[in-house]
Amino acid sequence: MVFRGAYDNINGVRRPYITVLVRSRTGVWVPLPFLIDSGADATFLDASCLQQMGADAGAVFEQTASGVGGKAAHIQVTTALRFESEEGAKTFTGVIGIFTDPEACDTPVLGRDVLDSFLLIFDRGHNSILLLSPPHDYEVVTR
Amino acid sequence: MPLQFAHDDVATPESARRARQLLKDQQWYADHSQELHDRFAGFFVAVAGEEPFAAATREAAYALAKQHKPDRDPIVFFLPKERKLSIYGLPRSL
Repeated sequence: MVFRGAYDNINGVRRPYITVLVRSRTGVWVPLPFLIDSGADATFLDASCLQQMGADAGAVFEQTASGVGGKAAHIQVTTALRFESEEGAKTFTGVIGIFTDPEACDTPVLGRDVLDSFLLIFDRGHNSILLLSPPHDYEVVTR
Repeated sequence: MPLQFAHDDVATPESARRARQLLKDQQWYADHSQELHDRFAGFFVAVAGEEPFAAATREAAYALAKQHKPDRDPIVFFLPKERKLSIYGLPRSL
């Protein structure tokens, strides 16, 4: 399967994004644009997603995550992430963090807890971002 | 339990259609991101059917897009007033 991301371009800074469906507490699949971050250990949502995800403060607990410009408090929710392509879909389940401080992060971040399940290709030259899953693969050639 | 791979699914006509639409809107946002930032910096912008719908919150932008494009799944982007370089281990603004 091939899942495709895209580079945006704001003020000369290009960032790689991919749209992933995230299941809210009420079972609704919401498409969210994730920053593809191979430097992030874990996947997080930003604070703006709290309401749409239906995060229940009474059912979660706080911990701190570091590496996002410092420590940032977050809550944890159980959810599912779903990548969809014309070839098929790939679903991940488990616990995801949602930052509680809007200043911590301004976009959902897709970390290596999910990315490591794909072959990830960043090709700025061809303006292409690919997340490959079997049966799709890649080969390095000499031109 | 951290996020873990659960299962693969074969595409259905509905999931394939949704995947095509989301891919189009994702690329539309990428192609128009500078223009959208110039117009809507500081706002949330929902993209549905290759059209933008801006509002002050993620929920409001999503609802606005659904109101105009009920058969689409809007992708909501936040456009910060200023995009700063982001590097781990350094202060957020350089």
